[in-house]
Amino acid sequence: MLKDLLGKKTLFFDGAMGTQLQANGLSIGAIPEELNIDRPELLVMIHENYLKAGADFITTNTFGANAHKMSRAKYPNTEMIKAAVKNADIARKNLGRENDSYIALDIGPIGELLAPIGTLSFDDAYELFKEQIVCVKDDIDVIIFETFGDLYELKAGVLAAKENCDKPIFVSVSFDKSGRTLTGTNPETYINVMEGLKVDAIGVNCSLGPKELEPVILTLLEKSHLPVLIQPNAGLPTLKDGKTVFELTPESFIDALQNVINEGIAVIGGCCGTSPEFIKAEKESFPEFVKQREVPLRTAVSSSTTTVYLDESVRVCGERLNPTGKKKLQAALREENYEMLISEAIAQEDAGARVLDVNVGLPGIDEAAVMRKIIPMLQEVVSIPLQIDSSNADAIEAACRIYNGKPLINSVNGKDAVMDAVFPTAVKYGGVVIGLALSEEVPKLCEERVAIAEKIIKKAESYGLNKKDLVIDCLTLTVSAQQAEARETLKALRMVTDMGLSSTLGVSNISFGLPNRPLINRTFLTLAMYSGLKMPIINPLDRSLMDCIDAFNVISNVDVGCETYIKNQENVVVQTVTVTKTAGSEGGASSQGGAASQKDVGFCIAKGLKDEITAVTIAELEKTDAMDLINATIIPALNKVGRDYDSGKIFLPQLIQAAETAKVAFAEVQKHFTVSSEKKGPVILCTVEGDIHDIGKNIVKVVCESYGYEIIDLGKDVPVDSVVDAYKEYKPKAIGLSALMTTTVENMKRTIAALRANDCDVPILVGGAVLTDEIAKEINADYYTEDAMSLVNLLKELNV
Amino acid sequence: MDNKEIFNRIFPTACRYMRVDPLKVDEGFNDKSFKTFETLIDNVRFKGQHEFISVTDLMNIDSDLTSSSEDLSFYLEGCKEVVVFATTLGVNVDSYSKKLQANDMGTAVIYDALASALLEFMTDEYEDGLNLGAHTFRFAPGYGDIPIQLNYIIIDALSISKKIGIYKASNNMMLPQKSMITFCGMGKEVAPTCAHCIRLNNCSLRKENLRCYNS
Repeated sequence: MLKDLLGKKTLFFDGAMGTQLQANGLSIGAIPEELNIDRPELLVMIHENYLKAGADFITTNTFGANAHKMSRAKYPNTEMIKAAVKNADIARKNLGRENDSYIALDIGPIGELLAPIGTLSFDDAYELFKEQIVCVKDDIDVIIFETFGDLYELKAGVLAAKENCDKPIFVSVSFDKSGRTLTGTNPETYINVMEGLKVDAIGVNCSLGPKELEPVILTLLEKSHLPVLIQPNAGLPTLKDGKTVFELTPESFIDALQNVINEGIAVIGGCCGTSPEFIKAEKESFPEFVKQREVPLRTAVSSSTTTVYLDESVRVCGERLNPTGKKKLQAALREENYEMLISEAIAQEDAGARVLDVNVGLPGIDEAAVMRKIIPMLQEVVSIPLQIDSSNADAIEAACRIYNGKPLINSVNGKDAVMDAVFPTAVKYGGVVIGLALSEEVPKLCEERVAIAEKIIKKAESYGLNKKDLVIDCLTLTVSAQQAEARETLKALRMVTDMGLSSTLGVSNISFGLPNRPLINRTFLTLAMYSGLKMPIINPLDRSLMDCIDAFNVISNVDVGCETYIKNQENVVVQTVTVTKTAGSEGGASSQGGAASQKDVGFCIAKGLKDEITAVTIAELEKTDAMDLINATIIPALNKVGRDYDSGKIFLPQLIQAAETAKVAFAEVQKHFTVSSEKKGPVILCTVEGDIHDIGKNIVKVVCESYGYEIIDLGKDVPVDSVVDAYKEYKPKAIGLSALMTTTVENMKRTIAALRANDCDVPILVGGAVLTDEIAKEINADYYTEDAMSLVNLLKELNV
Repeated sequence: MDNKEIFNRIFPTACRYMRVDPLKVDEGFNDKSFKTFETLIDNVRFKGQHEFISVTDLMNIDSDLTSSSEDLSFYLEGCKEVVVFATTLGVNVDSYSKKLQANDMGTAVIYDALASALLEFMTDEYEDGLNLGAHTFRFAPGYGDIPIQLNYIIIDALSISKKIGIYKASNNMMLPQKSMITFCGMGKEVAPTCAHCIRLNNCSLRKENLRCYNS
């Protein structure tokens, strides 16, 4: 059985297929998989040659055999896959190797990037992989996903394999010279995510030769607990007489592997440029048995590009993406206006959060559906791992499935029913789980909390989760109500740390109901870190808490050379603060005006001083009526900026900067209205189906919003039906459609036709690089506008 | 070449994309653009690939498509070989642009324009490094009547996704967004001038007395 040998006896894959096919007449642009049916004898011969050289695995000629890539092929992709497996089987039967060789179904990348970077959905990718697997699942011995550059696509493939087939799964990705995949994944992250998904072997192939891959191979051997598979190219390609050739011979290939040959590689083969001679040389040079490696387990969560270890120094989890007690965020979630969440996420990452908590739980909201939408949106703009925070097991499952990386799940507690609902998801998708040390109620004593933590560990282990995949929340209780329990929390942190577990705490609950809460929060955080707290869940925009962590890292010798501390603190002006004990808010506070007080709102808008406009607006609102400020200052300032843009005095970037500044001023002024009477619109904006270029549409949005228009942004690549649905739902006063490519103007035409067919009677405006007045008429749009400013002017004319 | 030199080389082109007159740019805008450029450079992971293929192979790559283009035959007349270039700034550039578009649209516009100009510059440098000898100027599917669908065929035929990470997106677009596939015909010198261009009488830049190449 393969699983008995894997990781114990060195096993050998075959070498390059493309190189062999090209040597046998495959021309540029021809589809290699067609040869499975057109020239089966050639494929059988290639497989036989590799088997004779010593290969244990035969890789089927199916690298690109997904339905998308094969759309130009003359045979259905599943027929070519079946033929490929049959050729492999004939080859091993011809040599009497049915019982000691394995047919590996080869699956390469689809050739399109998944959303949100690209346009292919995760579910569509899953279906494409599933189709490739299901048609031959009983006739193969192993599935190998190879040459992947996108971890997310690989996750879709692995899930398709696990859910539709019971054969072992090998994964292999390509790293470039920078040590990252094409979408930016580093080896540690790749290991953490794939181990979580429980593949059977992990590896690297293609892109580089054995010497250049050495650092990646050593990282895999040092950090992965799985059997390691390598299939390097025959060195780097060079050009000889106009043809691409690879630089290494079988002998020099083996020489280049000397530093890793005895370090525990479980499976070895070859990629581009290798041949049966290379496999023969490997067979003669590699040890018969695999050196066993000792790799410690770690507590680590990952995004697609970043792995955060939760068992070393303090790592902050940002708490602000949680609607509890935040009316604006609640409204944004109910209105499906996710812009605010995106901004909050970016701000928290920029402020130093290393993990972000994501909670969308509100009565009446379909939490699972919102998680499926918001997780990719957040992962498009932040690079740190996310913490899936929900008490709804379905929402956790939905979020973990769509998540790109290894998520942190918040949370289970000591109740069996909760653990039974969540642990299977953590096992399936490879999550780290926060365990709350409470059951029916919050225990008072440290020992009771630790006992619950032990129960959680035991239950997790019964599901196959290691305790290193747990983080224990020792619970913060409010010190004003339960003063004695704060010490119990600190004691529990110490005990949990001593048990070799990572820990977390929501910090700010401690001070609820007390005056000068920041003082209590800072002190508690410091004591908790000293007691072993690894992941405080806090507001990273609160500098006083973040500064505490910087100082703690210096004193505990984590921030060696005080580098981070100096970087973050060197420009801080230390002031002696005298706290004045007054009932009001006036005493003691220093003026924030400074230089800003010399500037007025109009000046800030004209100059685009976005960082200063809030303070200036607040100051001006103290002496000016809100409505007057809008009518006498903000609107005229914006109009002047618009005129300056039209006359060429200022340019697009300055126009946008001014618009963004005005938007901030508007937001401040609106706080002074009881009803939002100033909103105009709404106007629907989107980039049409098939078009992923949305910068133009985003520019229009910012400028329109600065003029007080409510914009419903449907995003990019928006299907025709979605635009129609949005028209019916939001009843806009105008619809703006954008397209950059000539090829997508056709979809714009279809969108307009569909809107008209649904009795759309509001103006339809079109814009984008390829649009003109003539094209707008041709596709039955009402108006063409050349740029953002002319669109705003048109909306004014139309009284939208 | 240091960052400042590269910036000075590409800034006029980036200004053209932003519809900014480079001669009217003030110091503040220039400084902000350079700061943005430095962020851009940190995000760039330029990758290039080139393949020499015969004109016959190129024409056979999808004969329905190539035979439909008169301009392709016109530009490659007299050439036996073609160099196909694929170049990209990498996916990080797109990701950071998306982040900027979410919280600083003004800078996002500058960043996007600089990225487009930088891709052209880096592709020029890549081409210069090959010392090709006599060759035509670079042109791309989508130019004249050369079908843009050729991008897709070439990405698969030359394994471009696997080698440097340019992927197909819907409607013959490519990802990362700052990527391009271009050709040069080998064996005859055709400089990038208006006189050699099929858009000679139909060019919006020329009407404004601008050029798309360094004159």
